Amino acid sequence: MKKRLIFGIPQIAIGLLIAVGPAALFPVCETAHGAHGVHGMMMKCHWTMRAELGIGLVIAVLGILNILFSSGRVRLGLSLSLLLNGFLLLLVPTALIGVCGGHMACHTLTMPALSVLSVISIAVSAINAILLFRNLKNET
Amino acid sequence: MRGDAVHKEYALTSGRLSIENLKRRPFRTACLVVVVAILAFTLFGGTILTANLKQGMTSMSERFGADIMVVPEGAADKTEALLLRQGSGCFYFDNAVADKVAAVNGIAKTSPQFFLTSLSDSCCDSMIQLIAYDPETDFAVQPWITEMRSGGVKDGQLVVGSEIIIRPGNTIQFFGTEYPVAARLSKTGTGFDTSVFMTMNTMRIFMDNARNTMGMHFIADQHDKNAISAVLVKVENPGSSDFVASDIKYKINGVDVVVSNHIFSSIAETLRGFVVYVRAFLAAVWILTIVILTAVFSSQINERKKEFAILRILGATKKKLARIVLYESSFAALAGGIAGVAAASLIIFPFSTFIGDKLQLPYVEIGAVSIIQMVFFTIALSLVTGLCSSVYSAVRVSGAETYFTMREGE
Repeated sequence: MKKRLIFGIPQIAIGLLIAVGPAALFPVCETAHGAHGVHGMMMKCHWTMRAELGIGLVIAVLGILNILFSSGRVRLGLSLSLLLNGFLLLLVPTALIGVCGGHMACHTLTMPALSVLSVISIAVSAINAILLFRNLKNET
Repeated sequence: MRGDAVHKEYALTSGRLSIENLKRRPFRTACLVVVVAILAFTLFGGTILTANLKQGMTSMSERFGADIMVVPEGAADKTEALLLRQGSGCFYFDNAVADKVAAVNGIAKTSPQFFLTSLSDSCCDSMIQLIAYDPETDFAVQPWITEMRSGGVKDGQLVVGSEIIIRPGNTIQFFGTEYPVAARLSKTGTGFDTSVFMTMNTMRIFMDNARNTMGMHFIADQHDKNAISAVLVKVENPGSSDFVASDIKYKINGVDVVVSNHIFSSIAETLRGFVVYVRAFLAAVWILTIVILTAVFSSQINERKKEFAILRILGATKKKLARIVLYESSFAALAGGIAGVAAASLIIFPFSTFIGDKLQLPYVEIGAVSIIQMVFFTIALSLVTGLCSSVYSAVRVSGAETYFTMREGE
């Protein structure tokens, strides 16, 4: 249970930060100018925020499931899906959707914050997956 | 065979024993790693920050080009803000000022510049500073452009600062018209990074297009096409900037002067204060780390006296016992050093633009080689700190008498 909490709680925290962060903690540009930006154009970071909300909630739910399930195989599967979600989380602001450029808030603060959170999420889920895989291998 | 434990055999080396000892006490090991990680984090983060600011300062002084900038009265603060990326501005006086400035004694070269601010072409609201120079007299912008592009820039082409985002196909759009981008300048950590440069003729085309296509009016129109924003001055004797600046201010009405040395010395002063603060903080963290680690190692040796005595009975030499203690501290310090560097990297590098903006000082990232050197230096210092803190414990362990240790407490 201790190990499940050690790996599950950070993922829940990261998931919630990703879901809430771009709207409140490290806000995208639209908080300053409205969703339609300054030229009446929908800003890229708006879509990034929407996508990250979904991914963040999925990561938080997977983190909860990681604590609830005791089976090593199930948790290995959950960790692998967390790992893939971590990569998706990283790709949304950097490649798939992106953020505004220059010295806009979403470029200087939101994107780095999301990138750092995704790196931590990837690292935590990778370590968990390796440990679970090693345990399963030792059991068989 | 499910459920059967798998036993692996290892040689009982000092290294292996140390690793097993660290693994057996995860909480204590984690505390040691965290203490060293804090030291490594502070050292690496502080060193990189300071180095980036110094690099920004060097880059700014190299790129400024002019010794004095003559600007309209009341525009000196705006000019400094423009140079330090704290704002953008457009202010004008008549270009006859350029001739008056050139007539002042002690001046080697003068060149006019014209400033305009614009909204960028995409979603953004950030103001872009447009700077036009006179290619015949310019001595500040063109040498810099030549480093990036031989052959100079023709009329109709733009040169963009390092942080300006351009469209695919090397174009940028202003006021509904697309312009080709001829070159991108290297990073300076100043307002030049978010500026667009062009010749005076290009600026005229640019403004005509804006008037014709979008019906725009400019403040500069009040001067009937004779407006300029600044006169850049290169003095004959670099030490006489202050004297020449005073002379300009005295002889020409309605102007302010910005002396580049004053800007640099003000930034250098701020930077010096920052460096002193960082160094003092680092020294305090380093001393604290050594004190904490020495105390932890010393107390754990007292707890583990009998463990070491048993190892002696089993045949371990005194040197081996000392090595076990030193290896334990080295492994913990190495892990802490790496963790600290990784944590600092996760903040310093992704958030570098944000940090630069918040500091409002020239901030340019140093090269990869310097960063790698700092990584090795930080990890090495963490290792040395760990080793130094455990030397006393290692000496005590190797000097203890096994017989008396085992009989203690009887």
